[in-house]
Amino acid sequence: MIVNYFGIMGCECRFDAQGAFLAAPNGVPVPQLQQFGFYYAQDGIWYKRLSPQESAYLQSLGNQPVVVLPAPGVGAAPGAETGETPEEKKTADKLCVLSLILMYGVTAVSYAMANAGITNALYSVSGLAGIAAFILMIVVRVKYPKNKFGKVLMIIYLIQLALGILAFLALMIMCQSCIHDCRGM
Amino acid sequence: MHIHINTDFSLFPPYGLMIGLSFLAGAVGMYLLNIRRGIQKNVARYLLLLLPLMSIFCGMGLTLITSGGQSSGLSSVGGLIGVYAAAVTMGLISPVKGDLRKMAETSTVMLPLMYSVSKIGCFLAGCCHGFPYDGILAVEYTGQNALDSAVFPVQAAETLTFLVIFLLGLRLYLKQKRCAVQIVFILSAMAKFALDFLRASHIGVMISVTQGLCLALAVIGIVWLMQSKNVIHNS
Repeated sequence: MIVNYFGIMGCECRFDAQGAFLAAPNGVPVPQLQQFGFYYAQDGIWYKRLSPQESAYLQSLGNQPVVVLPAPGVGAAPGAETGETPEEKKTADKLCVLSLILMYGVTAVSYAMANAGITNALYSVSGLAGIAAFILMIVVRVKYPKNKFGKVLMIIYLIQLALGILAFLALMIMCQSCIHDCRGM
Repeated sequence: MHIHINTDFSLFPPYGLMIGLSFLAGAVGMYLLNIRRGIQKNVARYLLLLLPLMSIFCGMGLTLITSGGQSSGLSSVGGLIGVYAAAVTMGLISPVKGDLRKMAETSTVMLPLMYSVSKIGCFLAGCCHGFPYDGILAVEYTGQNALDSAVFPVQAAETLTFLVIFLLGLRLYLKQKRCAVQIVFILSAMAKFALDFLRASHIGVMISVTQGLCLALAVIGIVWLMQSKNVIHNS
């Protein structure tokens, strides 16, 4: 059975124990595939696991050669209008929360270590946690580009990074002027 | 003829400025080469975000480790490890198979330019300077980083050497010459190994930690080159 899925024409529909899934044809732009939740597999093909509702609809059509999804009169798959299924949203949100914990939660532990005089550990722990938080945010943005939490998180981190750079530059200028002010005293 | 450099700076210390410029040059170059190689724009953009973070973290981390936590500062080899770590991370995140290799290759091509620009900062700031030397083009530092005697301009030599390696590598890479990336990798590791002998910090040291790491990288590069040649030969 061939499925035209949200404008992606000529997807091959296959069934397994978990329901229906689509194999995208060659030549479809990657961003479009990602937008509708297709994932890239080891065999070089982009696949999309359909929701139980969509699977049931396709099974009900039997041997019809070409099917269009979303079907007229049949509700679109949950989250299809946003390009994100509930499962994908759940996974993306979990990664975002973990990223937030790493970025801000670990800071508290790091400061506790700094108070205990372990400054090198502070650098290592907070630095590693910050980088891990950035990586998780990027994973969400690449794999689940339609996730709103991921978008908000990216904006927060970018603003934080910009403010950090500005603060560093301001500190550099202030220190330089202090050196000049105090010269000869 | 001696070169005189005053290390009292007016507003921005040149070291920080040049490190910033080196990241900018490397990131822009990597982005353009990645797009040229067909990597998705969003993946290439996120690499730009990750690149300075991981490079600075690894650069400072390696200095902390090798000094036993006694000193701080950016290590160039640590920075290099950070650049590759960022490329590998983004390669693994990217949904397209083969992006990891492409990003590692573009990183290798751009790294000599980043190092070359960063060494201008060292030259102007007076850090990482050469052995005491009184011949032609010897450098005399005055101001807050003043030195007792004139020194060999090893930072300028590094800048020029790595600029040549970058230009050669870029030319080979853009012409899609086989093994261009491996050649850049080996040349960079060997140049860094050789130039480290000219540093003041090398006096009394047989082989520095940086040289040990460079030797290891050169061996990795040679193995990589031989493997690539075997693949080409077999195919």
